[in-house]
Amino acid sequence: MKSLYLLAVLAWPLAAQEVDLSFLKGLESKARESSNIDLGPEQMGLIKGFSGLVGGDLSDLATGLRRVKVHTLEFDKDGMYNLAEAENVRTKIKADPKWLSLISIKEKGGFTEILTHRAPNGDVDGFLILTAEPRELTVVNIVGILDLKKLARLGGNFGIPRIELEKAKDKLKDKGNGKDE
Amino acid sequence: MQDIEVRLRAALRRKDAPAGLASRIIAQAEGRRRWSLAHWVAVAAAVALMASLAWQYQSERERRLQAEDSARQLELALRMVAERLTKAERQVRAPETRVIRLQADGQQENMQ
Repeated sequence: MKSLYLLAVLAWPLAAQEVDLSFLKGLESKARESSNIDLGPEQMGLIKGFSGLVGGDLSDLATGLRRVKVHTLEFDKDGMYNLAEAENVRTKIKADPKWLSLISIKEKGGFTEILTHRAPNGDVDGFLILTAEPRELTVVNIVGILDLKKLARLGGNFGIPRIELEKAKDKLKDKGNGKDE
Repeated sequence: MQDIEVRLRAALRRKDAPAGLASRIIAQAEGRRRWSLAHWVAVAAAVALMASLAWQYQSERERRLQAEDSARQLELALRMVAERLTKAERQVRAPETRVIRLQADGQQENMQ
């Protein structure tokens, strides 16, 4: 039964909110440090099921999540990965009208892209952080509803830094209008 | 002396078993066998119950450990998200930031 479930999970096609991360293949061996987190529906179900054990807030946040993937790669020197490939992924995702850019930062030798995925009914059902720095590559892909307000409430707990989302939003508004890249 | 002999003879005289002794013994032995079977059934049931409880406990323990491990990983992932958001926020605030686009609730704002 368990193997049948595993087979079903493996055969399940990528959800629209799931990003193809094949460009990261082979980079782990080049990285000084790499970390991988991949939590699927089974693990999310466990977290929800043991809410008393893991803390109600975290369990509450996990309620809307179906899959969480985090890949972090740190390199010893610049140019250890192909920035163009990361840029390609970024361009492809941004070209998809279902992905909406929340924050987009272009800097020398890299970029930061924070996007949300909209379901046909308009609900946010996916979240993506793609960060490329000269010596670091980070991808966070969340399928499901990530309530940033709940996340902000978790700030200061579980080692999660405090986030001042509203403040940041206000600062952005204060800066006025400009041109997109 | 003769008295002793008479008493001894009387004591050792062959006597017939009381009527129905054999059937009583057989009935008793069968009863003991029946109790013995019930005993083994009870032992087997107790062992099965204990094994089932142990299995349930073990699987629950494994699930609990998995949940703890998953929760730790989720915490780590959320920490990463929070750190990245904070970092992005700092970059947004930095004067050297050149291009930022904010899109929230379907409204888009562009700024330089």
